[in-house]
Amino acid sequence: MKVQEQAPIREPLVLGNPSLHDITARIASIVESKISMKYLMTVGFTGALAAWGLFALYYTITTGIGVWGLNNPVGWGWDITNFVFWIGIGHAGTLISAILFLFRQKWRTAINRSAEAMTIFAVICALTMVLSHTGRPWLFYWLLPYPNQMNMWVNFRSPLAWDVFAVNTYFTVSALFWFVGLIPDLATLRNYVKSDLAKKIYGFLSLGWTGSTRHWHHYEIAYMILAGISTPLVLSVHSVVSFDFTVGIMPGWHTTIFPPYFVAGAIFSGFAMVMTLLVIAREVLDLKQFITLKHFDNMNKIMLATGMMVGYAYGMEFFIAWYSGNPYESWVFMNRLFGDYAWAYWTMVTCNVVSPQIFWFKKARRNVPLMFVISIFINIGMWFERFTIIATSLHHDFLPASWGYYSPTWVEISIFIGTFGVFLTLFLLFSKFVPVIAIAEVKGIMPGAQPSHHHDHEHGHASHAAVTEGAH
Amino acid sequence: MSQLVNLGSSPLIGKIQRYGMILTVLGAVGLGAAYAVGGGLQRMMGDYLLGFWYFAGISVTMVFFSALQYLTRAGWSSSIRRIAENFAGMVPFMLVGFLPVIINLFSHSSIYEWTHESALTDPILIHKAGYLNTQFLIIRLTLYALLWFGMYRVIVGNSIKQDTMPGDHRPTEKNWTLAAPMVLIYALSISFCSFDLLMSLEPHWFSTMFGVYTFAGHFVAAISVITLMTVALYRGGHLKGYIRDEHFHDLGKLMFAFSVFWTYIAFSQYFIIWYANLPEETVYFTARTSHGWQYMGIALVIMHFIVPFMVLLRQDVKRKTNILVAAAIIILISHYIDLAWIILPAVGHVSGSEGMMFGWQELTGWIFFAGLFMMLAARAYKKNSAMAVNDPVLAESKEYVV
Repeated sequence: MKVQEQAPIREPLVLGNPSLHDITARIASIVESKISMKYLMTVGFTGALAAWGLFALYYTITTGIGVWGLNNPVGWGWDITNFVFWIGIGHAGTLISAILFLFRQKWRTAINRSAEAMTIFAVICALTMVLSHTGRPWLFYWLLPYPNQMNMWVNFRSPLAWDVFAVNTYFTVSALFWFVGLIPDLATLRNYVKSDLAKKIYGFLSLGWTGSTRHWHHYEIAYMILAGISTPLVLSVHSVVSFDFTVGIMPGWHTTIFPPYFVAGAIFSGFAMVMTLLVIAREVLDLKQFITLKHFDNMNKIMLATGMMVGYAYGMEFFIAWYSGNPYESWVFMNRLFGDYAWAYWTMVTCNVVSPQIFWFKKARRNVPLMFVISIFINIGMWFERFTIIATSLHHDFLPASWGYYSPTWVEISIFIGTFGVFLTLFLLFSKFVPVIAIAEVKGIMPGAQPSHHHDHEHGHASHAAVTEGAH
Repeated sequence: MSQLVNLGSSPLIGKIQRYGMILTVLGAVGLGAAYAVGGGLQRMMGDYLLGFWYFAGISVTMVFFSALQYLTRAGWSSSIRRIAENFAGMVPFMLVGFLPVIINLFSHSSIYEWTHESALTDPILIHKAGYLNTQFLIIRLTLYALLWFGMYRVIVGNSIKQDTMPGDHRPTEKNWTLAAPMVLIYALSISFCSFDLLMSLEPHWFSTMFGVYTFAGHFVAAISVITLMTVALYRGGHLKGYIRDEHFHDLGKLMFAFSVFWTYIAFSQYFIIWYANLPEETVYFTARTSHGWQYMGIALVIMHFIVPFMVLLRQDVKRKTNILVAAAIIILISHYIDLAWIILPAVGHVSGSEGMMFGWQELTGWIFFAGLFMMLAARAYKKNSAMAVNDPVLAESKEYVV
């Protein structure tokens, strides 16, 4: 978190020139304020969605996945679509916390906390989807390699086994990273809250943080190492997910660009989800001072860039499908364009490739209602991307006699809505009980917070001590 | 700082120019010898393509590197960005570089199998003739050359214009606006050019990842060249205070990250094809893992991944210039092996050579273009300031701490 003074040509990242104490007070006041009726009703609503989804999940598990709309050619449907969708959502958090950290992108400090939280919640939803799709989720431990008297081992050649490792590693590292980043802020809250119980809880969670130089030193080393470990995860997790498709020899699934294409799509969809929720959170929690139009501008640029990468991959797949001269390959792609699922394909193209083009314009990148709408389009488009990949390749396979069509039943739809319920409920709980903005990190980017030989005469006292002020 | 930094008369630039001249002459003689006594036209053309695409790819990627710094409004790199811009001197001459390739298309024994008469009876090549035909290829190559020249004019042109305009940031702001479309042009042109020049050497084979693969190699090679020049400037005592340990550390990180990125892309491409085991795709790798070519493949794993990874992993070594230079050289050698591994087996197959075709001849094209690359860089250093002295974020590059 060592950052330099910025050149005068750059826009400020925190508006209103608050003092370091103001920042602490402002963020902590969200946690300190009384729980409002509106908040309870919102949590009640999202909780009800989650409960409905859990009921559908219960019904699936007790009856069997026959209650879903899967059929003979289409063995994967909404289950895997939702799994890939949710895993993808998580990638924005990891990119912001790991890669943007290594690239010293100061603007990440205002959004990293909530994006990382979303990563964890999204992976929880993804795990729900993939576990329920196994059919007998109570035997989930069969997926783990452990010595047992039956001498049964997982099939290490199966990409589904790699998924287990990839997703579990991802969840563990993301959770660790998030928690380590939270420690100084939890200590700030411990010192700030008034109720005894809350003091005890935050005190316990802050692991005895005092804000001493020694603690900061260890913290920064740990944070750097976790950022280093998380960086390959941004690429590896979705690459492994893409292997689920590519190592098979289905036309439309087996193509070499899938790993980076999936990673770009994951970051794209993740940023869209972060955008959707942050636009709301910024309004409701009044965070305009910290999450500025500059932040949104940058996020929209990333969405435009990753959206173009996804568009590049769509185009490349088409070009090579024709160039390969493989009739099955080109047929599958024509079928995407004009076949039974053409509506899904064109929804995907419109949402993912066409709609973000508006972000070429700075005015659009700073128009909050517009970016909210576009972010929802992208969420929809990225869901349809996974659905298109899965359904179009499966529903017309090599044997025309078995061709079919797939549509979900109410159970699959309910489970999907339920995952949104879980995701939103967890996010609401997070935004109330945990500092939604990384207090210590935002302080670190305030003017004068960093030692600098050039400005020494102006901010001679400025150092990390000032940043830790809230923790004392 | 707004005084122009002209290093035209410095011994370093003189040396680069001198060695460049020697290498160009050596390479030209070598190419001639390769044609006359070293194996004929096809082999010489393969060697030419290898050398040309090695340095053409790096040069265009240098413009991309600069555009990327503008696009991300990078402060750290503003003092070394001009290195990339000065090493892009080949870009305006791309059409000249393409010419021998174009002329070769009309030869009965061109290195591209799809131009041969046998292609007329090959059903797959008949299918591809809409894309792989001489006229369309010439149009495409001309288009790439023009697009790259345009990119060069915009990005490098504005960057240099800023040098003489202290206080007026319009050229920089122009680049900030235009960097994004330039990056887009680069992404598409470098992908399709690599399809046209390299992938179509194996006209039956295809891979959607191929454009990303060649990009990854060019990018890490370009960063290695920038690192070498940064160290050379530093040791020559130039740009004092503007080239710091922090820059070495950052360049080391980029070399580390992008050699891993290349590995990721290379592994994914290999792995997906290997696992699916479809003959129409494995043909590419079976040709490259037999007859001695497999040693190049193994060398790539070691030199393009394991060695740079092990050498550059530690934090402190990224600040030691000796080790950075060693890592950069290893990466540049592996980039050569990478392109040789793509190009030479195909050319060897076309020219009917049994077994591995690799000898002194294969170095001649590389030496020739290495010389031109250096001479054009020296020319740029004589003409332009060695640093973007009026860049509005230059101060950040002097102050930042990793």
